[in-house]
Amino acid sequence: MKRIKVFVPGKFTVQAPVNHPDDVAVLHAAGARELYCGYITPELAERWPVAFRILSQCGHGKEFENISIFENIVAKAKALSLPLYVCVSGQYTPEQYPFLQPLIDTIEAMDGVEGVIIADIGLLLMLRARGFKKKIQVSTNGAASNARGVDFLYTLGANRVVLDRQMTGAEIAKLLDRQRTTVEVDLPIIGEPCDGFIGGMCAMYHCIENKPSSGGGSNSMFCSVFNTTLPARGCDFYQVQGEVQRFSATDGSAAGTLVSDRAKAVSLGCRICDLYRLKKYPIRSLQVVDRNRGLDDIRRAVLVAASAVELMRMPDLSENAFRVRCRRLLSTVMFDDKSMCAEQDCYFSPYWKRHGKAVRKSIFHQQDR
Amino acid sequence: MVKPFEKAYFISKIAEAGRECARVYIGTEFCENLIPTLPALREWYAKVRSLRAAFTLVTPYVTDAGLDRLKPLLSFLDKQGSAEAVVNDWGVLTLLRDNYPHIEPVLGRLLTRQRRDPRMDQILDGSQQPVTLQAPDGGTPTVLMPKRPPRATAAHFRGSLINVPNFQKFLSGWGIRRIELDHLPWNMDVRLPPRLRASLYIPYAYMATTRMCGKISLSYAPCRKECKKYFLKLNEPHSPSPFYSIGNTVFYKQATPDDRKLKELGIDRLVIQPRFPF
Repeated sequence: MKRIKVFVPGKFTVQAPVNHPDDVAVLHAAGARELYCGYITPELAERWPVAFRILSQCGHGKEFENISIFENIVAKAKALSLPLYVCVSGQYTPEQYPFLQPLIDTIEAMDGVEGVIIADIGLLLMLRARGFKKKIQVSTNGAASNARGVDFLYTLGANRVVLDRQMTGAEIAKLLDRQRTTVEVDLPIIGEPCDGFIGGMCAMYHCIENKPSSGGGSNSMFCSVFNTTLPARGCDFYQVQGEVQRFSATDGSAAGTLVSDRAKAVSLGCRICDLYRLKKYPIRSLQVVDRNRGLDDIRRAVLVAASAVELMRMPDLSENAFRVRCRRLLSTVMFDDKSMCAEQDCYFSPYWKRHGKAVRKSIFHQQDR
Repeated sequence: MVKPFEKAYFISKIAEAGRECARVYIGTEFCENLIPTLPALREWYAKVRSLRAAFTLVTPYVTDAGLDRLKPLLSFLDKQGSAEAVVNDWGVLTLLRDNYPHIEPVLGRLLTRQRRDPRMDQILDGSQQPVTLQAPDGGTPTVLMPKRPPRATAAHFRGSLINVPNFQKFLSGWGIRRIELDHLPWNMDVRLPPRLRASLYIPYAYMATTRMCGKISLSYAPCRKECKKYFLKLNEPHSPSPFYSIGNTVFYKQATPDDRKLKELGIDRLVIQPRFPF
């Protein structure tokens, strides 16, 4: 298949999650040019309750069960000419398909809906078989991480593929160089909900973590244990033998031979630094991820992304200058200048290559023996 | 006569292959940095064939750089004419189909999308205990009573994508005749047509994986191969098995089901992991 490139460099659009009809205008004003949301029929919700519908493994998704609210969002997005995508992004078993059919029918019949966001190959096959007429976006939970994988999804009917969140800028660039089909390849950006594992390959269910050992609070994110625990010995890696209790979320204190230090946890980063390197590629959309955040958080993230896109259009702006401006943007917009873009908290930052060893030592020193 | 289960050993040292070993799995499911070199693969292949065992190369999820690393290995195996490759990435499957027609593709356990979290066991079998939440201001505590999930939800957790007829048909179209599964703590439901067979990995079932092992190991280095030296064991009171974090992946341990259950599930191969598959 010959690839046809019709693309204006640096012309990204920002896709944002929307959780309420009133949010549509706010996000549009912030710079969002596409929206996405979840909708589920009451029949599906009854058989597979919210705690067990897997949305980013959290199970407490922002899916509308009320059709009138959903229709209201669709109407408002349409009035502002904002393409709206609807998430049907679970992993489904055969018993769910009879209930998915009417959901897909409803979505397909709605005039203001641009397409669906899915993560399940089985559902993709079903959509292809029934000749689904709207666009199909494969979510980052499809875990595509190479050009062949992206092209494969295209052959199954995907119009757009959002890449795995853990890819580096260099890996993304290589993928885009090799991609052979015209499928749109998009990037997840700002607001990584999971700071540890690959979403599409994770089987942890945070909805079941409201347990006494985690303080009984809301989702304690068991997987963050793996990011925030330090060894009892300052070795190259943690090696814990014998009985290790679960990390205590209530007071951050040691549990067993592990201690927690959330302040030192490293995030996946916002990824806007990568955009400069990628601006020559035909990436169309930047997806602000995580539907579970509040409107203000999402609005700020959209502002940062949209402003970074504007920055890229400036002629003669070097990559370094772009990064500096982006960091300032992040500090101002996301943190009200109360905090800086924490380069040392970003996994993708070159900071770690320069200072990783020293920082690690400072993290570990209290545990050294 | 009843056909016995094929015993395959997923090993990193040839001495780990048992006497009854009919097949050897070599490679990695989780990390492209651990893909063997071509000389290493040649050596492995010769050793395995000298045991008169069949050969399976296990491949991980990959970036384009990882695809490049796999090409010489697949090219070598294709010429041998009788090897399998377990694919855990759709890109690798297309690579096989386009270029290496003599290698038998097997759908890896990262693509079979089972519901794996062992902590669901207590919820599904109704043995959860009430939870008392202390009020932050010292007021009256709230007691949360366990609630059993609806029957449909329990059934959902027992099954997976592999039971979807359309998907099964699709696999056949891509020349896949075998899928790889983990053994779940609850009564799993596998419904395969006769054209599809299944392997079961024991004792380590995978739960989550990442490409950012430097983050999990707090080394923040691209790859220091800590996975070859250390692992973390976490005892989780709500799980029937501890969790093991090794390298970039989290596992839990499962017992082998009895023969009757294996037959019921359509499983005709056990993939035995004498140690963590790293």
